[in-house]
Amino acid sequence: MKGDELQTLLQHETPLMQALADGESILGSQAIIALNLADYSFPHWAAEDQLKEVEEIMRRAFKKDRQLKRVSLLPLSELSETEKMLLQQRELLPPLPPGSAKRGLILLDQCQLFLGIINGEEHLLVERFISYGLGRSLTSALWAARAIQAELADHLHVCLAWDEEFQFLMADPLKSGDGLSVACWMNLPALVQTGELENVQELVSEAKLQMRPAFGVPEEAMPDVFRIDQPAGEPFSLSEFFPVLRKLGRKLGSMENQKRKKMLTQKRLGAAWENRLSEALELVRKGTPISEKDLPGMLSLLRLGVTTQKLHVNCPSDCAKTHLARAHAATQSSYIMYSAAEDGLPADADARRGEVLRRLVTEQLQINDF
Amino acid sequence: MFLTQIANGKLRDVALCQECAKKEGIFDPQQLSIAGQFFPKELSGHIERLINQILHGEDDDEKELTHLPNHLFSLHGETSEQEADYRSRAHADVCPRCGYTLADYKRTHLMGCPECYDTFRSLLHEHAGGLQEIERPPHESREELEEQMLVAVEREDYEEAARLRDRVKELEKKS
Repeated sequence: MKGDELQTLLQHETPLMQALADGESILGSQAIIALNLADYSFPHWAAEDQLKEVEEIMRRAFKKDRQLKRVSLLPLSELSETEKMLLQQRELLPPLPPGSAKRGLILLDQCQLFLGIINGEEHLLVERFISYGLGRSLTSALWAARAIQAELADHLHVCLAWDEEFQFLMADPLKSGDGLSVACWMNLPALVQTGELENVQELVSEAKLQMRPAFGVPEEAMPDVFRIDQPAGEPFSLSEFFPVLRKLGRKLGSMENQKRKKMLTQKRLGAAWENRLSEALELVRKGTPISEKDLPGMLSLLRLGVTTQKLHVNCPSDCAKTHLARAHAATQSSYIMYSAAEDGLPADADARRGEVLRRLVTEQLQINDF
Repeated sequence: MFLTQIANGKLRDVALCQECAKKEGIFDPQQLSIAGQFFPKELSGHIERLINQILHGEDDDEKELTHLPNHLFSLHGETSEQEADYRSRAHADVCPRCGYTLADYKRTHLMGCPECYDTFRSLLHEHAGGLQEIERPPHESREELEEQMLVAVEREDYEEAARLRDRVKELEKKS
């Protein structure tokens, strides 16, 4: 992949990151469509010539689709392992199934409205993320995905893999159905930092849904950003799941907002929380090396400190939250590897991470003590 | 031991003594180096079974033919009637289109191609219990329809908005 193309992509604010920077509790809604073509083996089992054929069909269909024609299709083989990791950690590329290094295309959309992959686990997987809110945005995301599904079906000129009983056929039979799934993204720093994550998890379990940390593998992910959707590998009914997801998302959003409101009006937040915030700030100011494991928790504390106005920020352009949201991306291991010419993670990665945060806090954000 | 190898669309006989077969590891189903090297991936499973049948004396030709994937029939010059016949007799644990086997499914938990769903239909019912219950068109609640109507108005899709308005009215009548 050409460096310029990737740089441009990374410099753009993703809708998800923008919503995060704005401190929304409900970051947005996501709809994913996955389709396969009839008469073609699924990607994990298809021969090279079949994958090539599918690739060509999809390229033609995308050119004709009014929504997708501006999306570039980039061969997966042109991405290095670090670049794949970088895009995946920023949720710009769906997780790649094992052995998917063979022929495949990724959707490269500079506006980052669509993400996707062709010949991943399915022949086509397109994600549409709509930021902010849950009621209307969830419906809109669902509609947008359905519209893509309908338009592509018109342009494909091949039959989709369809069965009367199982409907759209996926490689994984537990995913077969209408080829569509929906999820909501939540930003819950107040609930997490005040130790109410267990209650949140309980509510999610009661609703028979699942919650996973966003942005990378759990140990590197932000501790307060979650994706909530249906449990993997369990049959579900969209008609039942959709209203449950919406109701739960709204409830969690409301709980988070109430908690933040309470924190805003409280003069003191409790010694334990304030100590942690104070320690985090001190470490950042000293430029102490920060491990990737400690980073998300530290950023979560700082972001919540700014949101609840316990940290006073002298940011001339009022972009403190954006800087803090971006800090996560700029300090991820994959980005440090990418900056260091992809030669594996440099030995001083923790020090670099510390330095990036120190500069951010002391030079750009000018955070005062609380 | 004689095997028929199919490479680049051509048939070739391969003769191996028991010792050579042992050396190549073909007694061990986990190390089918010959099958893996000579045959395309989608055929190696069938070759594996063929070898096992020969080694274990289960040389029932007709039974074996029904195990071969669909695209092999044309190599043998069968007519479409014969092909249909073979297909009808195909064992339920091998997909007649792509050659995917039950063992492949058990290993990967993925289907090989759309036709695998037909082949393994009964298994899917057994294995995933209630799969037939998944995914139906979303139930239209009044709240959802009203939201969809607003979105349609925003998109200036008034025709769709009117359709949704009518659906809301219908639901109101029913309730």
